[in-house]
Amino acid sequence: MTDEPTSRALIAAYKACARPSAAAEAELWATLAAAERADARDPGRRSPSRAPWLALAAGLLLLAAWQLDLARIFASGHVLQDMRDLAAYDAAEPDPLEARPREESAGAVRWLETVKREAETRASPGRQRAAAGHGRGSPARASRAAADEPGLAEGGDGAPGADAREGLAGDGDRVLAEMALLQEARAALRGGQPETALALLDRHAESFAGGSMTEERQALRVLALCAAGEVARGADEAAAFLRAHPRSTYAARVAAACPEGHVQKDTSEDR
Amino acid sequence: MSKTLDTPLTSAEFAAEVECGAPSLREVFARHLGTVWRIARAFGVPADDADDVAQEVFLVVHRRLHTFQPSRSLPAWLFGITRNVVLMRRRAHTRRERRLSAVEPPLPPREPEASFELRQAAAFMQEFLDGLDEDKRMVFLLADIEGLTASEIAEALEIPLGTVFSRLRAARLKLEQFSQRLRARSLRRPHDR
Repeated sequence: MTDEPTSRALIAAYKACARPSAAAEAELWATLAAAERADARDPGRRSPSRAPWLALAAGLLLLAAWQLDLARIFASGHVLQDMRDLAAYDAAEPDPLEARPREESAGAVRWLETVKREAETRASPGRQRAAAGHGRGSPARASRAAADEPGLAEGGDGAPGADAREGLAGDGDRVLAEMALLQEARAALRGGQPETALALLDRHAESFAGGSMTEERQALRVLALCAAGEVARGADEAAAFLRAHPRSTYAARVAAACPEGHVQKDTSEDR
Repeated sequence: MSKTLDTPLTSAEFAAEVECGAPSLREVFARHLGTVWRIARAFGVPADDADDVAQEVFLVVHRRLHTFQPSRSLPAWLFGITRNVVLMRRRAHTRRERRLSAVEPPLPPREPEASFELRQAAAFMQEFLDGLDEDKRMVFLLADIEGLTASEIAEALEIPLGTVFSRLRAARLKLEQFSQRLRARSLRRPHDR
């Protein structure tokens, strides 16, 4: 095939290979099937969107107000504005089905550039040289090196000696060490070793109790508990996570992690 | 626009095939998982994260399948969900996800059961797709890889039919040039040895 690559052959090969692996497909379907079973047991989980009901209620109220000649009172007061605000708020909720693509805002782009510049300024000259030499891959290697460094991977606080030795002091390196540990846990989870992942997450909780990636750790912990078969605990922690982080980007995955445990989650799609 | 054997069915064809109004989640999943995954990749989602995107998409499908109107194109509907899941992830993840992706370990080889030649050809195709701008990439993916009709693509991308055809023509021309370069490379290879 590669001796005479035709467009058709390339497309056929791409369709055959560019898709989830068989194991990932089975895992995806298992999650969906479990969600279906949970729905079958508890049909009330699919709550309808509030938006149409709010619109209907607002319309009826306006009609009633007009008929009772109260429109003037409403218009002059705050009630109508409150209703408009409520409807606007509901309409502004992100909906994966209705939201339309939008360019990244210029503000966000500027913010990212500023963060990048700040990170480059904070980096030591040695690390800058490494980054220049290794391109995109170097942060990953640097972080893995940080994870292998006992002072960072286990202590997190970083003994002064260790900091001076490796030049890895500062908040940025703590974050890298946090990420590396979480990444290890994530890799263990993906590799079918949820118990290892849980141990790594416990280690993360000890080392970075006030860290900046608590939300990621908690989400991963729910996934790991469910994968380890600790459905009841997983469901409890999922419910706690969703209460603490109702708008988390991990909410959908956390809610779906332990469907057998009946995690109640009103996801953003349903709002 | 020709259709391949495993072309995803339009919603009408799908409904006719399963002899009922709305397809089941299982059927949608079995037929369109690959499509959803590849659309996510075409939006720039890394291969490893595309599994997560696919899961989120099908969770939305699971919740919303009862609202799907059979008069609409099912692939176009799925495209819209996938696009919006990707966009929501992009907005929500921002710094955290970017930092996490910076320490992503090397990916395990996908589909190790596929032959070397097949994986190499797929990698060439990925290289070609990565080289296209997003507008042409989406049209080409939906038309020549996923087999959607021009009107379905126009519906999914919310662009005029004429634009679909012009982008597809341009993408096909680029693929032809890309294939010629590959052929030239493979012809040169024996002499290099």
